[in-house]
Amino acid sequence: MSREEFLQQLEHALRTLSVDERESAMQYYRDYLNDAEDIESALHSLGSPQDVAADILREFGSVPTAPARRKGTGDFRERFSSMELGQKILLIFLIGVAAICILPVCVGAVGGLGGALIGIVICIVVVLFAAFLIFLALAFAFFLAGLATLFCILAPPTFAGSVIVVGTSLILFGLSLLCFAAFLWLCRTLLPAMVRTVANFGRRLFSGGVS
Amino acid sequence: MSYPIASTLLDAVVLSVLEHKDLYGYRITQGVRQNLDVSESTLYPVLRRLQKNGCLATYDRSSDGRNRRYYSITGLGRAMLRQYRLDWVEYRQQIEYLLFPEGGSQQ
Repeated sequence: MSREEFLQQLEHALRTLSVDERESAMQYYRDYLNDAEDIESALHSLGSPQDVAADILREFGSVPTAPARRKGTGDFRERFSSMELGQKILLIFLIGVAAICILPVCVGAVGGLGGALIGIVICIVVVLFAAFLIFLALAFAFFLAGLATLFCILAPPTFAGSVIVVGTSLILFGLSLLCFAAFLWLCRTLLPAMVRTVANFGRRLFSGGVS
Repeated sequence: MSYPIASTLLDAVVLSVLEHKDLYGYRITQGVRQNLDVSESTLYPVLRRLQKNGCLATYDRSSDGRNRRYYSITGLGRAMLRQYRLDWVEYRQQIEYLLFPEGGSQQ
Protein backbone atom coordinates (compact mmCIF):
# COMPACT_ATOMS: atom_id res chain seq x y z
CA MET A 1 0.00 0.00 0.00
CA SER A 2 1.29 3.45 -0.78
CA ARG A 3 1.29 6.44 1.52
CA GLU A 4 -1.54 8.06 -0.45
CA GLU A 5 -3.65 4.93 -0.40
CA PHE A 6 -3.18 4.62 3.33
CA LEU A 7 -4.22 8.22 3.95
CA GLN A 8 -7.23 7.94 1.64
CA GLN A 9 -8.46 4.80 3.33
CA LEU A 10 -7.86 6.31 6.76
CA GLU A 11 -9.87 9.40 5.90
CA HIS A 12 -12.69 7.23 4.60
CA ALA A 13 -12.68 5.09 7.75
CA LEU A 14 -12.94 8.27 9.87
CA ARG A 15 -15.90 9.72 7.96
CA THR A 16 -18.23 9.45 10.95
CA LEU A 17 -16.06 11.77 13.04
CA SER A 18 -16.67 15.48 13.27
CA VAL A 19 -14.75 17.62 10.81
CA ASP A 20 -12.41 18.93 13.52
CA GLU A 21 -11.51 15.47 14.83
CA ARG A 22 -11.02 13.99 11.40
CA GLU A 23 -8.83 16.88 10.26
CA SER A 24 -6.72 16.63 13.42
CA ALA A 25 -6.16 12.90 12.93
CA MET A 26 -5.42 13.24 9.21
CA GLN A 27 -2.92 16.03 9.86
CA TYR A 28 -1.21 13.91 12.51
CA TYR A 29 -0.79 10.87 10.26
CA ARG A 30 0.15 12.91 7.20
CA ASP A 31 2.96 14.46 9.23
CA TYR A 32 3.80 11.11 10.82
CA LEU A 33 4.32 9.41 7.46
CA ASN A 34 6.30 12.40 6.23
CA ASP A 35 8.59 12.24 9.26
CA ALA A 36 9.08 8.48 9.18
CA GLU A 37 12.61 7.64 8.21
CA ASP A 38 11.55 4.39 6.56
CA ILE A 39 8.07 4.79 5.15
CA GLU A 40 7.71 1.12 4.29
CA SER A 41 8.34 -0.10 7.81
CA ALA A 42 6.25 2.74 9.26
CA LEU A 43 3.29 1.74 7.10
CA HIS A 44 3.90 -1.86 8.06
CA SER A 45 4.03 -1.26 11.79
CA LEU A 46 1.08 1.13 11.78
CA GLY A 47 -1.13 -1.66 10.56
CA SER A 48 -4.17 -1.28 8.39
CA PRO A 49 -5.87 2.12 8.07
CA GLN A 50 -8.98 0.48 9.50
CA ASP A 51 -7.11 -0.57 12.65
CA VAL A 52 -5.66 2.90 13.07
CA ALA A 53 -9.15 4.37 12.59
CA ALA A 54 -10.58 1.91 15.12
CA ASP A 55 -8.25 3.25 17.83
CA ILE A 56 -9.35 6.78 17.06
CA LEU A 57 -13.05 5.98 16.80
CA ARG A 58 -12.97 4.08 20.09
CA GLU A 59 -11.76 7.23 21.80
CA PHE A 60 -13.60 9.97 19.93
CA GLY A 61 -16.23 8.24 17.84
CA SER A 62 -19.01 8.29 20.40
CA VAL A 63 -19.19 12.08 20.45
CA PRO A 64 -22.20 12.95 18.31
CA THR A 65 -21.27 15.04 15.33
CA ALA A 66 -24.86 15.86 14.53
CA PRO A 67 -27.76 15.90 16.95
CA ALA A 68 -28.15 12.22 17.87
CA ARG A 69 -31.24 10.34 16.80
CA ARG A 70 -32.26 9.51 20.31
CA LYS A 71 -35.66 8.20 21.30
CA GLY A 72 -37.57 10.79 23.22
CA THR A 73 -36.57 14.40 23.63
CA GLY A 74 -32.89 14.08 24.54
CA ASP A 75 -31.11 16.84 26.38
CA PHE A 76 -31.19 19.95 24.24
CA ARG A 77 -28.42 21.62 26.19
CA GLU A 78 -26.10 18.65 25.65
CA ARG A 79 -26.78 18.59 21.95
CA PHE A 80 -26.38 22.34 21.72
CA SER A 81 -23.05 22.35 23.49
CA SER A 82 -21.72 19.48 21.37
CA MET A 83 -22.36 21.44 18.18
CA GLU A 84 -19.53 23.31 16.61
CA LEU A 85 -19.43 27.08 16.86
CA GLY A 86 -20.47 27.61 13.24
CA GLN A 87 -23.51 25.40 13.68
CA LYS A 88 -24.47 27.24 16.88
CA ILE A 89 -24.33 30.64 15.20
CA LEU A 90 -26.35 29.36 12.24
CA LEU A 91 -28.99 27.85 14.52
CA ILE A 92 -29.38 31.06 16.55
CA PHE A 93 -29.60 33.09 13.35
CA LEU A 94 -32.29 30.84 11.87
CA ILE A 95 -34.35 30.98 15.08
CA GLY A 96 -34.11 34.78 15.05
CA VAL A 97 -35.30 35.02 11.44
CA ALA A 98 -38.17 32.59 12.07
CA ALA A 99 -39.25 34.54 15.15
CA ILE A 100 -39.30 37.81 13.19
CA CYS A 101 -41.37 36.19 10.42
CA ILE A 102 -43.89 34.66 12.78
CA LEU A 103 -44.26 37.81 14.91
CA PRO A 104 -46.84 39.63 12.70
CA VAL A 105 -48.96 36.49 12.43
CA CYS A 106 -48.88 36.00 16.19
CA VAL A 107 -49.76 39.63 16.87
CA GLY A 108 -52.58 39.44 14.34
CA ALA A 109 -53.97 36.22 15.74
CA VAL A 110 -53.82 37.36 19.34
CA GLY A 111 -55.18 40.79 18.46
CA GLY A 112 -57.94 39.26 16.36
CA LEU A 113 -59.02 36.76 18.96
CA GLY A 114 -58.79 39.25 21.78
CA GLY A 115 -60.69 41.81 19.79
CA ALA A 116 -63.41 39.30 18.94
CA LEU A 117 -63.86 38.34 22.58
CA ILE A 118 -64.03 41.94 23.70
CA GLY A 119 -66.49 42.67 20.89
CA ILE A 120 -68.78 39.85 21.98
CA VAL A 121 -68.73 40.99 25.57
CA ILE A 122 -69.53 44.54 24.54
CA CYS A 123 -72.42 43.29 22.37
CA ILE A 124 -73.96 41.38 25.24
CA VAL A 125 -73.65 44.34 27.56
CA VAL A 126 -75.13 46.68 24.99
CA VAL A 127 -78.07 44.37 24.23
CA LEU A 128 -78.91 44.02 27.91
CA PHE A 129 -78.56 47.74 28.44
CA ALA A 130 -80.76 48.31 25.43
CA ALA A 131 -83.35 45.96 26.95
CA PHE A 132 -83.48 48.17 30.06
CA LEU A 133 -83.88 51.26 27.97
CA ILE A 134 -86.50 49.69 25.72
CA PHE A 135 -88.69 48.67 28.59
CA LEU A 136 -88.29 52.05 30.23
CA ALA A 137 -89.10 53.77 26.98
CA LEU A 138 -92.10 51.54 26.35
CA ALA A 139 -93.35 52.26 29.85
CA PHE A 140 -93.22 55.99 29.21
CA ALA A 141 -94.65 55.61 25.71
CA PHE A 142 -97.65 53.66 26.91
CA PHE A 143 -98.14 56.08 29.78
CA LEU A 144 -98.15 59.03 27.44
CA ALA A 145 -100.45 57.20 25.04
CA GLY A 146 -102.78 56.59 27.93
CA LEU A 147 -102.75 60.28 28.81
CA ALA A 148 -103.32 61.22 25.19
CA THR A 149 -106.37 58.97 24.86
CA LEU A 150 -107.73 60.43 28.07
CA PHE A 151 -107.74 63.85 26.44
CA CYS A 152 -109.84 62.39 23.66
CA ILE A 153 -112.68 62.29 26.17
CA LEU A 154 -113.05 65.95 25.43
CA ALA A 155 -113.88 65.09 21.77
CA PRO A 156 -116.62 62.41 21.37
CA PRO A 157 -119.83 63.42 23.29
CA THR A 158 -121.42 59.93 23.30
CA PHE A 159 -121.26 57.63 26.36
CA ALA A 160 -120.08 54.68 24.34
CA GLY A 161 -117.29 56.80 22.92
CA SER A 162 -116.25 57.88 26.41
CA VAL A 163 -116.26 54.31 27.63
CA ILE A 164 -114.03 53.27 24.73
CA VAL A 165 -111.68 56.13 25.40
CA VAL A 166 -111.42 55.44 29.13
CA GLY A 167 -111.00 51.72 28.46
CA THR A 168 -108.21 52.25 25.93
CA SER A 169 -106.36 54.63 28.14
CA LEU A 170 -106.62 52.20 31.05
CA ILE A 171 -105.19 49.45 28.85
CA LEU A 172 -102.37 51.73 27.85
CA PHE A 173 -101.65 52.66 31.44
CA GLY A 174 -101.65 48.97 32.28
CA LEU A 175 -99.13 48.20 29.55
CA SER A 176 -97.01 51.04 30.78
CA LEU A 177 -97.06 49.63 34.29
CA LEU A 178 -96.12 46.17 32.91
CA CYS A 179 -93.16 47.56 31.06
CA PHE A 180 -92.09 49.52 34.08
CA ALA A 181 -92.36 46.39 36.20
CA ALA A 182 -90.27 44.48 33.66
CA PHE A 183 -87.68 47.24 33.80
CA LEU A 184 -87.57 47.07 37.57
CA TRP A 185 -87.21 43.28 37.46
CA LEU A 186 -84.33 43.61 35.02
CA CYS A 187 -82.67 46.13 37.30
CA ARG A 188 -83.18 44.08 40.43
CA THR A 189 -82.17 40.59 39.21
CA LEU A 190 -80.38 40.72 35.89
CA LEU A 191 -78.11 43.67 36.54
CA PRO A 192 -76.51 42.30 39.77
CA ALA A 193 -76.14 38.90 38.07
CA MET A 194 -74.40 40.53 35.13
CA VAL A 195 -72.10 42.52 37.38
CA ARG A 196 -71.26 39.41 39.39
CA THR A 197 -70.43 37.32 36.29
CA VAL A 198 -68.18 40.01 34.88
CA ALA A 199 -66.43 40.42 38.23
CA ASN A 200 -65.89 36.65 38.55
CA PHE A 201 -64.59 36.43 35.04
CA GLY A 202 -62.24 39.32 35.63
CA ARG A 203 -60.98 37.82 38.89
CA ARG A 204 -60.38 34.43 37.32
CA LEU A 205 -58.60 36.02 34.39
CA PHE A 206 -56.12 37.91 36.55
CA SER A 207 -55.58 35.43 39.36
CA GLY A 208 -55.87 32.28 37.25
CA GLY A 209 -52.24 32.37 36.28
CA VAL A 210 -51.09 32.59 39.90
CA SER A 211 -53.20 29.89 41.56
CA MET B 1 2.70 -12.48 28.74
CA SER B 2 2.40 -8.76 28.53
CA TYR B 3 0.34 -6.51 30.71
CA PRO B 4 -2.22 -4.34 28.95
CA ILE B 5 -1.37 -0.70 29.34
CA ALA B 6 -4.03 1.43 30.99
CA SER B 7 -4.83 4.71 29.31
CA THR B 8 -3.95 6.72 32.41
CA LEU B 9 -0.54 5.11 32.36
CA LEU B 10 -0.09 6.09 28.73
CA ASP B 11 -1.09 9.65 29.61
CA ALA B 12 1.55 9.71 32.33
CA VAL B 13 4.22 8.29 30.07
CA VAL B 14 3.54 10.78 27.28
CA LEU B 15 3.51 13.71 29.71
CA SER B 16 6.81 12.53 31.12
CA VAL B 17 8.38 12.26 27.65
CA LEU B 18 7.35 15.88 27.02
CA GLU B 19 8.36 17.16 30.42
CA HIS B 20 11.60 18.83 29.36
CA LYS B 21 11.25 19.21 25.62
CA ASP B 22 8.56 19.85 23.04
CA LEU B 23 8.33 17.12 20.43
CA TYR B 24 6.28 16.20 17.40
CA GLY B 25 4.21 13.05 16.95
CA TYR B 26 6.76 10.81 15.31
CA ARG B 27 9.47 11.60 17.87
CA ILE B 28 7.09 11.11 20.79
CA THR B 29 6.13 7.70 19.45
CA GLN B 30 9.75 6.68 18.97
CA GLY B 31 10.62 7.89 22.47
CA VAL B 32 7.88 5.81 24.08
CA ARG B 33 8.54 2.76 21.91
CA GLN B 34 12.17 2.68 22.98
CA ASN B 35 11.04 1.44 26.37
CA LEU B 36 7.48 0.23 25.92
CA ASP B 37 5.96 -2.11 23.40
CA VAL B 38 2.98 -0.12 22.20
CA SER B 39 1.64 -0.01 18.68
CA GLU B 40 2.33 3.18 16.77
CA SER B 41 -1.37 3.88 16.37
CA THR B 42 -1.91 3.85 20.12
CA LEU B 43 -0.39 7.24 20.76
CA TYR B 44 -2.43 9.60 18.60
CA PRO B 45 -5.60 9.16 20.74
CA VAL B 46 -3.49 9.75 23.85
CA LEU B 47 -2.00 12.96 22.46
CA ARG B 48 -5.37 14.18 21.26
CA ARG B 49 -7.03 13.44 24.60
CA LEU B 50 -4.30 15.25 26.54
CA GLN B 51 -4.61 18.20 24.19
CA LYS B 52 -8.38 18.32 24.62
CA ASN B 53 -8.27 18.26 28.41
CA GLY B 54 -5.62 20.98 28.52
CA CYS B 55 -2.56 18.99 29.57
CA LEU B 56 -0.83 19.57 26.26
CA ALA B 57 -0.71 22.50 23.92
CA THR B 58 0.22 22.36 20.26
CA TYR B 59 1.91 24.73 17.88
CA ASP B 60 3.06 24.41 14.31
CA ARG B 61 6.59 25.08 13.26
CA SER B 62 7.78 24.76 9.71
CA SER B 63 11.05 23.09 8.92
CA ASP B 64 12.40 22.16 5.49
CA GLY B 65 9.45 23.97 4.01
CA ARG B 66 6.79 21.86 5.66
CA ASN B 67 4.76 22.24 8.81
CA ARG B 68 5.21 20.10 11.89
CA ARG B 69 2.88 20.05 14.86
CA TYR B 70 4.75 20.21 18.16
CA TYR B 71 3.24 19.19 21.48
CA SER B 72 4.21 20.99 24.68
CA ILE B 73 3.24 20.29 28.25
CA THR B 74 1.10 22.88 30.05
CA GLY B 75 0.96 23.86 33.70
CA LEU B 76 -2.02 21.59 34.11
CA GLY B 77 -0.08 18.81 32.40
CA ARG B 78 2.82 19.24 34.85
CA ALA B 79 0.41 19.06 37.78
CA MET B 80 -1.17 15.89 36.37
CA LEU B 81 2.29 14.39 35.83
CA ARG B 82 3.22 15.04 39.48
CA GLN B 83 0.06 13.30 40.59
CA TYR B 84 0.53 10.40 38.17
CA ARG B 85 4.04 9.82 39.56
CA LEU B 86 2.73 9.69 43.13
CA ASP B 87 -0.11 7.38 42.05
CA TRP B 88 2.35 5.13 40.24
CA VAL B 89 4.64 4.73 43.25
CA GLU B 90 1.69 3.73 45.41
CA TYR B 91 0.28 1.42 42.71
CA ARG B 92 3.65 -0.25 42.17
CA GLN B 93 4.04 -0.86 45.91
CA GLN B 94 0.59 -2.42 46.10
CA ILE B 95 1.22 -4.76 43.15
CA GLU B 96 4.67 -5.75 44.32
CA TYR B 97 3.38 -6.47 47.78
CA LEU B 98 0.91 -8.89 46.24
CA LEU B 99 3.31 -10.37 43.70
CA PHE B 100 6.23 -10.73 46.14
CA PRO B 101 4.60 -11.48 49.49
CA GLU B 102 7.86 -12.67 50.99
CA GLY B 103 9.06 -9.15 50.64
CA GLY B 104 11.45 -7.38 48.33
CA SER B 105 11.01 -6.78 44.61
CA GLN B 106 13.25 -7.85 41.81
CA GLN B 107 14.61 -4.30 41.46
